[in-house]
Amino acid sequence: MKNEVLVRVKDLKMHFPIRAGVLNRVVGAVKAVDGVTFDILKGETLGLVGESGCGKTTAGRAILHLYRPTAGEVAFRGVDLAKESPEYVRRARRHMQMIFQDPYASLNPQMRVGEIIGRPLRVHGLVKDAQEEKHLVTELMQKVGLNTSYRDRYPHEFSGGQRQRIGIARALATSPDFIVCDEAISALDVSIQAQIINLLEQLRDDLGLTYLFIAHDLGMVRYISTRVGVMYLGKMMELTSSDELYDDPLHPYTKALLSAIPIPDPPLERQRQRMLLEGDLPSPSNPPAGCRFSSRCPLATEHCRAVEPKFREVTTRHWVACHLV
Amino acid sequence: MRFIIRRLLQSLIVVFGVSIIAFGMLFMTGDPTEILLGNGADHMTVAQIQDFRVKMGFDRPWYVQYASFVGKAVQGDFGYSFVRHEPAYEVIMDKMPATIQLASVAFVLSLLVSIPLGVLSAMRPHKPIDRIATVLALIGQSIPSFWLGILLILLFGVQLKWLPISGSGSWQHIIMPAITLAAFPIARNMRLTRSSMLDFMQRDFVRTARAKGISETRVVYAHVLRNSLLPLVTSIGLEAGFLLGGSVITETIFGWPGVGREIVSAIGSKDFNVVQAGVIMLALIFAGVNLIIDLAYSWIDPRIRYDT
Amino acid sequence: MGRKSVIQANSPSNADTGKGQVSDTPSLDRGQIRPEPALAQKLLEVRDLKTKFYTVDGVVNALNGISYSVDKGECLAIVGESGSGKTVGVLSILRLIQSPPGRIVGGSIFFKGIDLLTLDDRALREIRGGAIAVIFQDPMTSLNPVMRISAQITENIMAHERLTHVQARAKAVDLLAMVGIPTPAKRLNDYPHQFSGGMRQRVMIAMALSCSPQLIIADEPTTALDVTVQAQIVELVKKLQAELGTAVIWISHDLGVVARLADRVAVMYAGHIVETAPVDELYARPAHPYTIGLLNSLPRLDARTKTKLQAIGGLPPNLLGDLRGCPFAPRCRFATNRCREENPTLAEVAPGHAVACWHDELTRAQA
Repeated sequence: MKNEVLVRVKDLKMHFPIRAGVLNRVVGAVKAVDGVTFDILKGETLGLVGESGCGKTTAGRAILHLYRPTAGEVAFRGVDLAKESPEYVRRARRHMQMIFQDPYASLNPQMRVGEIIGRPLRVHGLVKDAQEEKHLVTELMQKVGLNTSYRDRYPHEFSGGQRQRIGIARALATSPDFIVCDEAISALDVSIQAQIINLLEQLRDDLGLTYLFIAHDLGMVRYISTRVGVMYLGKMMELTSSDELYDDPLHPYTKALLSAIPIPDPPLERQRQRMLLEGDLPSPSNPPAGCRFSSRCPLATEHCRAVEPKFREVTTRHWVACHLV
Repeated sequence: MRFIIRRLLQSLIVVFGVSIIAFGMLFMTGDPTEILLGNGADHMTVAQIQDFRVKMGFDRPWYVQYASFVGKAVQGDFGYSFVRHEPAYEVIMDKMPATIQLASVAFVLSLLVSIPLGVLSAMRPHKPIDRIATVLALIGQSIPSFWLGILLILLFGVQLKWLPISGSGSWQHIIMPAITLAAFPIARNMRLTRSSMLDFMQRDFVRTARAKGISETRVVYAHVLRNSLLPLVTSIGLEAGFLLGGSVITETIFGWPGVGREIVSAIGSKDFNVVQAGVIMLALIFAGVNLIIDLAYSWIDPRIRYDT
Repeated sequence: MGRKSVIQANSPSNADTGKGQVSDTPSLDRGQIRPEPALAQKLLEVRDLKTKFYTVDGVVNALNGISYSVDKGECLAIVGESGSGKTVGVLSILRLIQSPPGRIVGGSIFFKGIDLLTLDDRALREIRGGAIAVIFQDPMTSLNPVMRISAQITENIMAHERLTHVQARAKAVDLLAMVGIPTPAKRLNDYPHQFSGGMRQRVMIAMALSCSPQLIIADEPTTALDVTVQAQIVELVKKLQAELGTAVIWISHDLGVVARLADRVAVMYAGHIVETAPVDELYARPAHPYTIGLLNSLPRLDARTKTKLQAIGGLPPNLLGDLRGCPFAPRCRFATNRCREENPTLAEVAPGHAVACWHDELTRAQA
């Protein structure tokens, strides 16, 4: 893999105002993403993990410019889209697509599968006529393993896994380079998850795609990702290669997260030590001072509770935000 | 506390809106001087008419007139009734107890009938009791109140001679007007209770309640019904307006000496001060009732109480 | 190998008599029938349970004759994907399925020797929340939003024990403390929305424990929770189970959680139990092609080398109407004509390890 940067995220912040009171004043902000920095290299799969409220989904959407970032920059092939014209952004969109968690909610129930998949082709002016569109849709359906005779059916006639295939075909229609998979397999049954994961891997290898793979299932993330970033309350806590993260986690949160995940191997499970975290996730509108994780970290010191640690490269290509590393 | 203040402000806005409409009524129908003088203007000189206009203050700009109208109304001064020659406010307030009495009886009646019937229907969906209740609700919602009133008068007043046809004075007098007024809210609240109960019956927490081994009666009343009341309370708030507004027709049919009948007769005699006083006082009561309903809502639903 | 037919899942006379009388069915030619096990040994014994849902689209055969048992103090995990009938299977025990459209049409459920399906409503209520308690999947929707936690716990206590209101409240405080809720006396007066998801599930557990049940049914209690909170709840249940000696039926689709928690596992597919075994045995020597497929389709967190995931092709069957043959046959790479014609019953292949497959020797050789 060449180390060519496809997407550069620098100090990205995405805050959502909280309004309240008679006059609907802004009384605070949900700091969904609060300053994260990372690169996505061409051809890699970057996994983004974390628990609910950690900001991984928001980060994915901000990277696709579905939201306007509060601060920071997201550059796609070296161009910061926030500084470009709406027309430029619209044209750039065809190179970056998204696959959603709930395949049903993200498909228009009144459109036939063929129309759903063909629509991006027409919107971006990639086909000359209906004949060409039909031809390309057939090709896409074959690519994702959908029976091409289903093109006139409606989304509700499909199972969850098949709907996710429709969503993937739609995302592939504009021949993108970069796809954000937002919890793309979370809603599916175990036996179907593997089908979709295998499909995503095969497409990546065949088409040279780059993925941002957002999920809470660390097992799947480890499996599919080249590198993995761990988020907690809007901050990136640790980022390194997939193997290194699991073999040598440095951040206490990563360690806790990994130890919390049970492994389907009963004798091994009986021996494993749990590193149980106290309490629940704090609210992203009112994160703890200092290190975000300090309120639940078993190792936290006064320094941790006062000063926010920098996200820094500790060893080669292994980034951590922790004072104790 | 914040919640109460916000609701209070909203109520004020409603009353303010009604006052503008009540005030505007006089102008929307034409030149108030001519309307008030009516045929009498034919026998008056232009100077006399102009004198009347100045005396009534109709020569001033409308916003000055409105300001003075509001200024006086706040103190309970709506001017004199042209017909009765006493303050319009007093004309209305004399009739208010009768209207409130009728609306209250109809209100209590509607709740007493609609909620138990709704619960019964929901307990046995698509069984005979539910089907009968459904048909009754359909009738209650579609029959106009003036027609129902006349039917009741013909049956119980004229044919059977069980109940007095018109007027007030004894408890028998209130029965037919109250039924007429309550018919629609009964029908609507019954359907609402039923659908709300059926909806909540499927909720996870009801299954949890059953899994505890508590009696089915407790499941229905402590868990399902209390949650089902939430949508009902909103409807009841709107109903206060319906009962007060609906009283105009019902009171006229049954000769019930209330605000509604007074407003109708005042409209007939172009006694605008009385109409304005009546409309605004009803609006005030309506806003007050809604405020109470909102507070009740926050009492039933702790999520609202604690979030604000 | 002595193959013995443990349960005659498809024998209609079994359902009719309802008392677990096992009849000989001519089409089954595998081994002899084991004599009736003594009822008193098992805490719970479910036999040939059948539940159907009568919907507008037709009859959904959610449970097609499942049989399993739970010993005192044991943790049985029931594993399956959505629509496999795992939840219906346990909610049927306390008749908690929505009815209509759901109806238990056959089988028997012996709890300490008493058939729960023959009990009247009053006797069933004594068992519900008393000897058998339930923890539901989603703590967000499973608590009454307009009722204080105190009332929700005490109503369970007072339905089963002769206690005054004050005594019941005191007991509720103890229960909340036991499940690890800080400042329990203060939290008792709160409403569910004032708790986080993990704390709500602790409240549900406190409620379930309130009358010292002998059996707790936990229906995917951690599915709606984050992993670190899931770990807290799993460890809490493990600890309480060890301390109190309560038997647990844990429903899950997560084979990792099951490995952590269960003593024994039953795998469900399309309304049938297709395999049941002690937990180590099941993970080490899975025999049903579906179980093997499930285990192979999971990436392991601790995997050193990347092996391609083996997805199970195809889709689970539609349970509307009658199925013929083995329900897994259309997705099974070992399927033969016999599989498509006849549905195999559970047969013991090792002590405590039973499989419903015609070709289990073959599959185990391949696994």
